[in-house]
Amino acid sequence: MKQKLVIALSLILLIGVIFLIYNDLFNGNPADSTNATEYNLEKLKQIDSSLICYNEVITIDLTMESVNALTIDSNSNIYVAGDNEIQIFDKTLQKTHTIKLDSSANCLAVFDNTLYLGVGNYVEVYTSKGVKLSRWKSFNSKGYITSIAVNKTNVYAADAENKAILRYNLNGVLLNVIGKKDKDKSIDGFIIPSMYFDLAISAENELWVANPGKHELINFTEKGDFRTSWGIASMQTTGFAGCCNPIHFCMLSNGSFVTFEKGLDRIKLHDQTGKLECIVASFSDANAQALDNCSIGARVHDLATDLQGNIYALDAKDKKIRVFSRK
Amino acid sequence: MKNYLVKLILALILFIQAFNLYAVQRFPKPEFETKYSQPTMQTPCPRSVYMEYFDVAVLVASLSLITWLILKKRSRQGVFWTTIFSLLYFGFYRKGCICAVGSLQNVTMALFNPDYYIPITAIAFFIIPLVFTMFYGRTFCAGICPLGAIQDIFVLRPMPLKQWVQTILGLIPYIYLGLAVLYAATGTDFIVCRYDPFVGIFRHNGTFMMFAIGGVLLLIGVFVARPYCRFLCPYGVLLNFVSRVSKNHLSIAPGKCIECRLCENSCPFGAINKPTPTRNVEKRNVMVKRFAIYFVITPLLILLGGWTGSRFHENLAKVHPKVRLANELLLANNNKISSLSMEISTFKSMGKPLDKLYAEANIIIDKFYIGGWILGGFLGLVFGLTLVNLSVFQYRTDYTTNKGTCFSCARCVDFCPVKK
Repeated sequence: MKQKLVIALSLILLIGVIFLIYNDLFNGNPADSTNATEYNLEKLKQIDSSLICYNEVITIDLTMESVNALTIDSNSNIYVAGDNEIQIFDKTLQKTHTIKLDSSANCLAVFDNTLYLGVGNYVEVYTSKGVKLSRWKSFNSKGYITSIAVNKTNVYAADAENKAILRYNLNGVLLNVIGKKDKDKSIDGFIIPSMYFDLAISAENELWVANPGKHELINFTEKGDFRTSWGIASMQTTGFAGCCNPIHFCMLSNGSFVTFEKGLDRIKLHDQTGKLECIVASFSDANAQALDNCSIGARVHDLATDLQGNIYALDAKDKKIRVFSRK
Repeated sequence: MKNYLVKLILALILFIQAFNLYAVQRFPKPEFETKYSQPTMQTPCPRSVYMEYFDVAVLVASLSLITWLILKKRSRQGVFWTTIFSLLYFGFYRKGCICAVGSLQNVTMALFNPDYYIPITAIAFFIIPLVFTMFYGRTFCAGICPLGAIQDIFVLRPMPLKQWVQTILGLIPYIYLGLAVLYAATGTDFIVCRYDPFVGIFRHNGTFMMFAIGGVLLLIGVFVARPYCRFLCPYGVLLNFVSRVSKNHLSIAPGKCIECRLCENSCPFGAINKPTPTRNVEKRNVMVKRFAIYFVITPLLILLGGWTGSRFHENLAKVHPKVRLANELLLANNNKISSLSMEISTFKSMGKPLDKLYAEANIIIDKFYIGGWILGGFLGLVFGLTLVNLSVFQYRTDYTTNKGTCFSCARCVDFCPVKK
């Protein structure tokens, strides 16, 4: 009896297999209205609302054609680089003045009332009132500085073309080059498929650098020794999506990381170990338009934080600074 | 017991292979949640010509070895280890390509399409197993064919099937062969490769359906031995015919059968002919009359089959991508489908005249009309000959192998107490 049952079940399965083949052969590939190869990330952009731990509280409209970079000083003044100028807002979000530049700055940092700008392959230094102090000698003619950070003793410039971090003293003397491939130091080198290469200095003066091609954030000593790294490649919120992310990041005073990924256009908060803490914001609603405009590229062009833990995102599409506060 | 354990371990190893499917790459494939599916590898990378010749050499060498092991050494163990070698070489190393089963489509296409260049190795893989079978029986099926080899490992608890079940299911390979030849001849598709159930396992890559069919067939194969070989394989049809004329086919007893009945249930494929109790089960004139009736109605069955096949030619032609596209466009133009497929959008963007597509599709459909007649006629012939065969009584005094269906696996020889 048992044997008959097993044979009967096996034969039913066999007939099922034949039916599957028949069905696929004669009824397969029905007309499908969707484009199977369409680059559609909408579903991945849908975020569980319980993961969102920040509210957008303020937006600051900018009067610029293009916006490139954003930073905040210790007095909560906001500096925005774009076009051929820098606009400065005080903590009441009123524009106080504008600094005109010879060329557009890709990135900027401010320390002790001094502005450090990355312009093409060199660094320019201004006072916060707009007086040009110096222009540093470029590392080489091919360089392209995409991010800059300053502390009491060092200026770090991320050079995307040379795939290296240039460490200067405050007078513009190049001290060393960090992150070049070095087997002896267990440094694999940076993978930078596009011109997105960010760095930041933590409250403890630790240098962190994004390695977007490896979906990692890496911590180096100022001498350029590898200390630690974190980050995984994944389309899920826990990792960094696509070919090369995160493209921008900054740090909170408690050592947490705020990251932005292009493609999925999401800002996330990670704790000191890199573990996802929550989502700050996701730009799923208006992304389609952003993708249509190739000149914009990524939706957010820079991130910054203030001492109160607010997060500032420079929205390149809407030409706004979006300010997020913890719920 | 030892052999059973070895097979169980090998079966487990094969199952573990499936875990490779979930191996994580350093840079994972994008995890699209849209309807976009990652393209699956259909064929392995091209191989150099010399290595293709090497494959042919391996085929000849392994066929020679297994034939020697079966016919001269009568060693089931030898067959088993050759099976493992073939599974590893032609299966996992060569990723199931090129295989003799699929090569019949290459040969068909080459016969019907003068523009198609058929590699000499494809011809070799088609011909060589047939030549060996013509002389020595289906030694290729015994353990060289990777599709048979993988199933053979899973023959753990085989159960006998009723003869009538085997006869009915045994008609399916003829239908599959007919369709495979029709679609290859018309340049539609290589359906044997498309629905190869085990190639996904060999390549660690494939569609869900490939793995589902493969997994189910292996599961069935635990109880109903080698279901693909017996009830689906189109190449097996050709081997079955050729094997019937083989002069040096494996025999159960190396000498005179003593009818001890020890081998009676040894074949998991039901390919042992038992001795008949009497010389005449029915009156001679009744048998002759029935034979004559079946013989006469066979041409009618061919005509009926051909006519039926021709009635279905449009359905058969729908598998052709051009006919399918033309059909979809026709429905879209008649507003019978609301949304356009990507194929339609692509066609429209190319600016090709619709009438030209319809004309090309009509030519293909006409080919299928002829093909439908031939396919139906072939199936009618098979059905008629099956009836004729059932009406023929064969008197046997010994336990013998059924030359057509026997895979020459040599399982039965271990049960035979007769020595040379």
